[in-house]
Amino acid sequence: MDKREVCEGIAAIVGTDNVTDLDFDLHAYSRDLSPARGRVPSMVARPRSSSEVSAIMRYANRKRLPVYVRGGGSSHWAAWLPVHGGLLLDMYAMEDVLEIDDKNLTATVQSGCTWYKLDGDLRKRGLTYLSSEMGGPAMTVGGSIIKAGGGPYGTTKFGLHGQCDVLGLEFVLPTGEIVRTGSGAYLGVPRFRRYGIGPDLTGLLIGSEGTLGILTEATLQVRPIPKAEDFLSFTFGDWNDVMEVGDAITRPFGDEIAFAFEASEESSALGSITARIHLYGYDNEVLEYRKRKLREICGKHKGKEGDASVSREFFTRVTAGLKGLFDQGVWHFTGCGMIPIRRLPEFNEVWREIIARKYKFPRCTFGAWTFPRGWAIYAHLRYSEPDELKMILTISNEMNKRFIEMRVVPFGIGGPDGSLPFIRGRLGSYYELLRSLKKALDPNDILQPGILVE
Amino acid sequence: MSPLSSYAQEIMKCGRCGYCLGGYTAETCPARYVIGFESGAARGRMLAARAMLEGRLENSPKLIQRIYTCFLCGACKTKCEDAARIDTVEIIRAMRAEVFSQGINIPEEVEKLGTALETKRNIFASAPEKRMAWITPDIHVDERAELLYFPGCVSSLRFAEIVESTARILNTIYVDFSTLGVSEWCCGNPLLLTGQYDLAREMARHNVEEIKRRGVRHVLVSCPGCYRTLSQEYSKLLGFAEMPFDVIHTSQLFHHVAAEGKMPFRKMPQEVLTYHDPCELGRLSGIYEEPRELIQQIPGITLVEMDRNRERAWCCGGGGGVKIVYPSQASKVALARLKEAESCGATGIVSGCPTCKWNLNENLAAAGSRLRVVDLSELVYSSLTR
Repeated sequence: MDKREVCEGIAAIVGTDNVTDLDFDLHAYSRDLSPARGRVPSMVARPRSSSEVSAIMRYANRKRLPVYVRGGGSSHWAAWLPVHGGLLLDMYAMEDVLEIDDKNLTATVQSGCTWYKLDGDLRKRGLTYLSSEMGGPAMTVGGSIIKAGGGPYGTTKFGLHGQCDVLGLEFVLPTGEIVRTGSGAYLGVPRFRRYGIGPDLTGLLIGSEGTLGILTEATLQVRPIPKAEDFLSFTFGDWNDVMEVGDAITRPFGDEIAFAFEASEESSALGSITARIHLYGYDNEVLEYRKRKLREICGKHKGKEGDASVSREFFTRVTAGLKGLFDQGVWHFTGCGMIPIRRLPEFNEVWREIIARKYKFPRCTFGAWTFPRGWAIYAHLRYSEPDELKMILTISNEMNKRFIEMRVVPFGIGGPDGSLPFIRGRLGSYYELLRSLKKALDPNDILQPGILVE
Repeated sequence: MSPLSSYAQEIMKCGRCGYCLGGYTAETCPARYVIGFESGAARGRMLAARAMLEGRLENSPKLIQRIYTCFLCGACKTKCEDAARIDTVEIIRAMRAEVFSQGINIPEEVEKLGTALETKRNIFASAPEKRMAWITPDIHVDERAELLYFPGCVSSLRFAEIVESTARILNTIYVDFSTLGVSEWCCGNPLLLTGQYDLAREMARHNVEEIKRRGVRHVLVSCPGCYRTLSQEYSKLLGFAEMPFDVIHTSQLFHHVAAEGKMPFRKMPQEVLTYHDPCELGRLSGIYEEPRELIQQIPGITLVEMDRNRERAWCCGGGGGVKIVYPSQASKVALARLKEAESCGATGIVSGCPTCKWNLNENLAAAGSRLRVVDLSELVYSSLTR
């Protein structure tokens, strides 16, 4: 590949100021949040529109140029690191809130728009996006959808947002065609409903880790800001009790009692589990009813009520970011994924075995949050680079391997530096279909090669 | 140990969370705003710094260009206080010191700055005696006074109205002051910002010796860069556990006098003004409220806030030496700030920094703005009964 020639080709599409092959710029894109080793792209471009993305993909096909796609850059499992070099698209320049429709309660954004920006704009109109990942202000809507992300915020009520609230997408196929999904697939029809004619092609992109198309726009269901919200906190001594609480909260399917229910345990204080609860309601009576019910449920399962400000701090800084983030070292999430509602304690037991008994690692959290009829679980290690990097990778690989053997459904897979080595061979005919789809949509295998689909 | 390697551990603390970027391109980091790429923001710069430490980045004119395109406004440092508490400003300055120490591909403007300060001891290479041109016969200076006024290069050599206003306020409120006269050298801040630590140390040593020789205990400054350098950097540069004098910014002194009811304000025509926080006075020194309270005490003035204020304030574009090295980038940042000021309903911007006044004023025409930009001292002086 003649880098200079390729840069000129891309510059003809996005302008010279929006493409770079300077070493200084490239190294700035070489890592995500994970301890995965750095991967330096050959060049980086910043498209500003779907048509620019389309033109880039047509050009990349002619040149057989690998293209990787990055949102806010904060993936936890090497989801976009350019394992084969090539062009990295920084989608952050596509950050506009395109439309807020307060009649249909929808918001349409460019994929590089952050949750922070979207929620800020919505709140000016009395609306909010209630279901969102935990994370910092850099996290983009597109990045969350493409990895089907989720965090504890609002998940108990609404599920993982990357799957539940998306009403339609616009994306660019690996070959450059621009596609719209859901009701928005019809010319002139707004994206008010995810399911249009035929299969759910919105779902095709959700969780695709960028391998089947480049997300350029998304329309989301939004909600009025609730009139009332409150927080509760409880401590538990046993994950079996936490599991019972999660079961009871999500049993009234469709009318879950909490907006968010999350619990965690530190490796330095085994047996002390803190649960954080966020409640909301459009009416104070509803809120009070839910609080009363939650107190009953937690009390029944040996929960002791604690300081609610812990929960308030945790949940109100969702998009602004949590304080004291790296006080114990930089983060690595491992063993993350989803499990059925009755299996929580067995995963905690394996975590204890690996973290506390085998490696005696003092800076690790096991946590879980409910979604309707299931748990999302994680182990969260804090470490120092470069001294503890090797040990962290050893622990992390073991945890991933064990959890996947126990059939956790991982949030994402990523590439060879992520969970792909542990998933390989476990997906059967589904994976073969995915491969066929990938081949049909991306015949030259240029979009995110090496990620998710081998 | 090279300048950058002493920060190796701190650089590794970056968890790449992206707090430093803010929630949208134009929210937090002016360098990211003008460059567009991740390398503009602190998260990218920490990865680049790591690559430099590990010998994976070669010195080239392009590399130097990126290193000198940070406004050192401290917005990322403030954001990072919630995350890894990395002193990003120190590290980015150390990156500059690292490349400067290699002496290769240094931007011409940076070298010119060093030469000006080495030969004329001011950033404009003006004749040293021009520093005192603002002292007219009707301004009373008492060379025995315990308060020493240190106007700084930009105020005394480009914006004499700031220095004159300050001196006349001091005369009006009967606060005696002395000066270093032609013995005042640049505080050294532009050298620290551009990685020229040895010369900065020489400037610091000279100024401290001159101040000590006069036996003064209080130094008054108009410039936030001088304020931060004299109050925070000199002790580090010279290895002092405690400085032999304290440093006061004009906004602090005038606020103190006004709070005691001793500032003889007169009724001013009704005007809506906004206050622009200079980075080195606000985020990097923690002075936010004194200037605001002072403005609010002036009869007739209504203070309104821009959307981004105090620790969230957007840089004027004049910081970090970018105005000297890449003036067009400094302009782009100023235009964004002027637009923000227009949208908050103000007819004028008050700042407490001559460089902010310089950069914002210089871009008014390009912005098509009719705002007036004044220094706090000018505003206060114009509102006094004389």
